[in-house]
Amino acid sequence: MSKPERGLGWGGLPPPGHHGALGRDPVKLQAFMRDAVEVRLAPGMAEALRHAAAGLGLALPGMGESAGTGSATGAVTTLGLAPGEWLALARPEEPGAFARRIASGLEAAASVVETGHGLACFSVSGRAAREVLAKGCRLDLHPAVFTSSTAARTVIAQIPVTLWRKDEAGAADSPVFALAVPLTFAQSFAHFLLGASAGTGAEILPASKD
Amino acid sequence: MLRITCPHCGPRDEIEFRYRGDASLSRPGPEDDAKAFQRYAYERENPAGMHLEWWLHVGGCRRALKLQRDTASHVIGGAGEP
Repeated sequence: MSKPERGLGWGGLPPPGHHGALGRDPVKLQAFMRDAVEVRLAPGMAEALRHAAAGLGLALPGMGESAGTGSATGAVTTLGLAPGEWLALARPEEPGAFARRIASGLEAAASVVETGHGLACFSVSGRAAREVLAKGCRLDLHPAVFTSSTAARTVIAQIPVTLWRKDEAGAADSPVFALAVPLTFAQSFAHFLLGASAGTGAEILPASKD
Repeated sequence: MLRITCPHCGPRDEIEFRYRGDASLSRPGPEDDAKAFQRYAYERENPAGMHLEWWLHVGGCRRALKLQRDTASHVIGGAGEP
């Protein structure tokens, strides 16, 4: 038996295929993987952190915002989730490498904790994405309010969710909502997504690293 | 359902918050007697009107905030950082 791919084995969503009603506009559901680190500002180090992050090429957006930065090793998305607290997400690489790179770049200006192995990420896209998420999400996801540079932490179906937009390049008018939930809630959250999308129909895509 | 305006996250539903008790109390010092601690730990005003409360935004920014709420009408007077 071949070795399972890291992060693919937790089985949140059912196998790729169609689920629910056979509508014309099925919503697209996909599990994807991210390396994640939580960055917390050390007391009194705001200036040092700003400087260190600039040296590292790491964007530190304001509260409730997301920012993407390209670098030689891959794009990093940083979400501002609380005052002085960010979640930095990157495509999976060698275990621990992303966290080490961030931690060595920021040194004493912030505490850096790797949280990627505790997160399950889902994306919801397609014309009905907003309608599907509205069955559990209490935030206004209208593109005028929840833009491609918005990030939020909220509660959906009693599960804590980190929400941001992961739009394809050049397609800001067709939002891709990305949701990260604690890994132990992945199955329950997948159940919520399947129930919420049963009326519009869902196309389940294979789990992805992108 | 209350709609609480978190100073960090903006208006959010009550379900994201946890009530953490009376925010007008202050802990007695080491020089105070057992009666003062008894009052601090157990005795509450229970006013019908404006009340200063701790709320924890556990489903959002995870920060504590102080909220002024009318216990009779649920009107929220304001919320702020401690």
